[in-house]
Amino acid sequence: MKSKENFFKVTILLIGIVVIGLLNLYSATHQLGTKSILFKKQICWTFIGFIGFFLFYFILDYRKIHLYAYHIYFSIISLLAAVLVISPKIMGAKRWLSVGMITLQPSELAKLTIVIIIARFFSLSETKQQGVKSFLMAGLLTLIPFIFIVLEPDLGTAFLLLILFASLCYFSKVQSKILIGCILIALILSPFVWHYGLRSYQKARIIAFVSPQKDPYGMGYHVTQSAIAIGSGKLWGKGFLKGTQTQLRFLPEHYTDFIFSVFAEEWGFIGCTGLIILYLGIIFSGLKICQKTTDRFGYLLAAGITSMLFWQTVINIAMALGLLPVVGVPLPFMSYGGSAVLTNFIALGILTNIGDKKLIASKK
Amino acid sequence: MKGVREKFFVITAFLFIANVFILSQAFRLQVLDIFGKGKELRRIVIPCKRGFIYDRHGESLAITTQVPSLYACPDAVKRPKEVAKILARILRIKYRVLLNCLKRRGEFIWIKRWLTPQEADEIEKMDLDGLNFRPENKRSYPHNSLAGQVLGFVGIDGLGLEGLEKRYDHVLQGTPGFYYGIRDARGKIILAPRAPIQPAQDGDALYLSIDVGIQYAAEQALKKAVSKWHAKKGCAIVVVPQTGEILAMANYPFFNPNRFRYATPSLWRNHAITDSFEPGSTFKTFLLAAALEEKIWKPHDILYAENGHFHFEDVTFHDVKPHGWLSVENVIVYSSNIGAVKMGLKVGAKTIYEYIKKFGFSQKTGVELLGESPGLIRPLSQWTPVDAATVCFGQGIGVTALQLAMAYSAIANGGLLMKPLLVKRIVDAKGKVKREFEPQVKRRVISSETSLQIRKILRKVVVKGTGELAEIPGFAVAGKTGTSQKINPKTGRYYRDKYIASFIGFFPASHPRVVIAIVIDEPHPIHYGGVVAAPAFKEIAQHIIWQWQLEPTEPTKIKMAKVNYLSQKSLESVDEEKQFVFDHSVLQNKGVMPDLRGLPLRLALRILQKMKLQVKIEGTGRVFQQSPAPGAKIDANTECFLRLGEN
Repeated sequence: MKSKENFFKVTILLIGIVVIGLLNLYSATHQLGTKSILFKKQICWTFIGFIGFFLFYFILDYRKIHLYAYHIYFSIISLLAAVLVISPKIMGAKRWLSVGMITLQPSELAKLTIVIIIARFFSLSETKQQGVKSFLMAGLLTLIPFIFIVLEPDLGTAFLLLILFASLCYFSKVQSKILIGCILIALILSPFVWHYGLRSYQKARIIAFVSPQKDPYGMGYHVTQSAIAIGSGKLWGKGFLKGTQTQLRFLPEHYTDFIFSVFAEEWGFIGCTGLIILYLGIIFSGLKICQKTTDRFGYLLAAGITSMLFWQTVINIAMALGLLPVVGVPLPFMSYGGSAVLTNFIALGILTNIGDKKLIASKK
Repeated sequence: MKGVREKFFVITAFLFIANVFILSQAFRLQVLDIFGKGKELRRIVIPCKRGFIYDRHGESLAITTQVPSLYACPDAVKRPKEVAKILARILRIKYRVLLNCLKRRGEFIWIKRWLTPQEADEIEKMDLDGLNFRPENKRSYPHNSLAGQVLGFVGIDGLGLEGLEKRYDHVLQGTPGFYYGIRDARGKIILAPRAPIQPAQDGDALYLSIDVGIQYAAEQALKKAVSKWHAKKGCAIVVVPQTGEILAMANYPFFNPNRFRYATPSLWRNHAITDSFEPGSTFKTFLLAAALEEKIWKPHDILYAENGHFHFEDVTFHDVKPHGWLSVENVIVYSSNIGAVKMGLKVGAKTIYEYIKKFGFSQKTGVELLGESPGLIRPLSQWTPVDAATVCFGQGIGVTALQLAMAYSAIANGGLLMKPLLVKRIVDAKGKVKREFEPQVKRRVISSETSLQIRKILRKVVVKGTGELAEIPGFAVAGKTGTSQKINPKTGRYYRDKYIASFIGFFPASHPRVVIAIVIDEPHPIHYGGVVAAPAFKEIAQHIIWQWQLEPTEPTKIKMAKVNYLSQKSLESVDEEKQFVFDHSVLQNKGVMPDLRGLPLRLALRILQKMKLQVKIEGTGRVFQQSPAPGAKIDANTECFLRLGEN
């Protein structure tokens, strides 16, 4: 029974966050008129997400993923390619694939896929430390979806893939000279990327982050408005459905990337602290599972999934608070978005599946 | 695996640090409020819109629009003399005044508020430095002077100063919103986080019981009567007796709230409620009510009217026309003062006083307006026998036109004194009804039997008495005329040549739809209520009949004449007296559509030809449908439509 401890802990934390997330999304969208349907959609996605979560915990053995890793990887790559070819432009970007009534965002699924494929790749090597060759191979595997997503363009998600790759490198002991070399190359290349690689709006966002007050109605608008909304929550918050800054639509995109601002305005500093504790709970459980797993693939997969949740949470909240530039990274289980919900639920399902020692014992 | 422990220690530490960063930033924003502290917060007001006023059907009577106002930043004006010259020409303000404004130092000074579109256009084209527009709320009244005294007006600072605008100022105003801002480096204002926006709450709207159509008709009829008889002023009130709803409240001379600055205070007074006057004979009705209700007199009891001269307590009362023996009914019908005094003597001062009180005199009616006068009835203890006698025919007391209208409503509706209803509901900016005003019964004054008796007598006033000019064939008009001398407030004596003429009536007598009160102040050369005020009543009533498309309630004289036509076959052969009565009424009622239903086409056409009306015909046989409806108001341009059919 002890082996299920992780599962129960994660499930309770998950339900806690999901309930908060849905209430918050209701508050964010209930005055939006036609867009209030987003709340109902999200409920459906959450339901599907829970099915995925239980499916991956109870029925599917994570080892199967080891077998099908490349299948998954290439099907996602082809989805990403399909997005670039056939999807229409929405708000200046090609990110979504419509299949009947469902709209998929393959770049969300790519996050988990990268974790799976890198975990599988690194788990194969015999040596305890990853050499230059395997590092470059893994880098190549990351680079393919990275480029596709950059072309969409969705810089935030693309960047997240790099961070996940880096995190897995850290967990799987890539030789430290390789890591240092990479950092040096990145530093040398960054001025060139700034000049040739980034588009003007992407540059503007970074400038706005560095000094949002320079242009409070233009590029700094999001940052300023978000800070105002969060700040107006004060210590105890304004209360459920009482937020004015976000509900009066001063803050665009508040139901996706800036959902935290809605929450912070209505529940205050106390609520924020509580929410962050819930997230930390899930992340610590993930780390614990990771630490206790003896299987190398399981260890890397758990580490990757935990990093995925951790980085998304931290980047999103830090962005809303004005600590990081505005990038399109959703807050797991809080932001609106079907693909993200599905990805994160499945990821947690895999994580708890790894944490179930019974399964591991039976296999070995 | 080696080193795993250290690795996890590093990771945990990293996690911890990341979260400390996040929470400390949240703490800075939410608890320390880095935006608000140490920086000067400015409170910026978000103006709200004053609520509209509508009539009972939602027609706008008072609206709020945004109008540009011109201000200058004198510091930024480069050539003040030149600018002042241009502005003086466009705005028609004195050059000196403008130059003084522009030469002053500072950032802000109003040049002219509420520009006309042409002025704003011209100035905009000039493109002058240092001048700017700011939109300001302006109250405007789309119907200009319509119901001007009832609506009142709003001053330049947005406060209601008169009428409903003042009475319901707190409701109409709304609450301005505000937000706190910080000035950024460029001097622009950005929102401050700790003090969030308080959105502006627009004012609530009022829906009145006034009906624009009837109000207009009342005002036109009043204007006509006042100018025809060279009167000083006048007022007209139209009330629904069953509910107390005021359909129209007109005062002449008119007051246009759009131009309130050019009006004298006496113009914007709502005389219908603020002025009390001696009612004269219209008051006899209440004496009659007391006498009948207390069963002291019966309608057919008779009394001796002293042939026009009656000495009582060393005073002599006179009648306009001397009468001998009169029935109680005829005292009212022919409006005999002496008859009334004799009735009053038997009824007794105490009972009369009680009934006056019961009918709501000497108390405010409670209409939703400010400045209402309670009128003046001296307490019973101060009444001398002569006072008690003069009260019987409406002298020595003061009442307002609205009080009279409400008291007559009580007679018309079967005996219930209603509270006048001017505001029907208050609706907030989102269209939600906040308050609904229901008709309110104050008290029962007389029984419905008495009410019916009085109505029958008042009907006779119009049929054969002093109110003949108010008659509309088919609609059984009932009412009472009144003519009273005005008192010189300086000497306390009656003016010899200043009168107040009034007519208060309702129709149809059996189930009155409206009560209309007309009061005309100082008409001359003729001052009789039956001549001066009754035609105005008729005009308003005819409009109401047309607007509501009322069917006649009883056979009209015209209908009666229809039979005569069939037998005589000619309009010209008029020798019998009956025929004469009919013909006379056709000429009299030139403005009224006759009832042609059932007539053969040829006859119908002949009548219409006489009336010089254009006709359209459909079908053959006899008329079975007509438009306008019988009794409706028509003029020379009215086009009639007849539908014919067998049977």
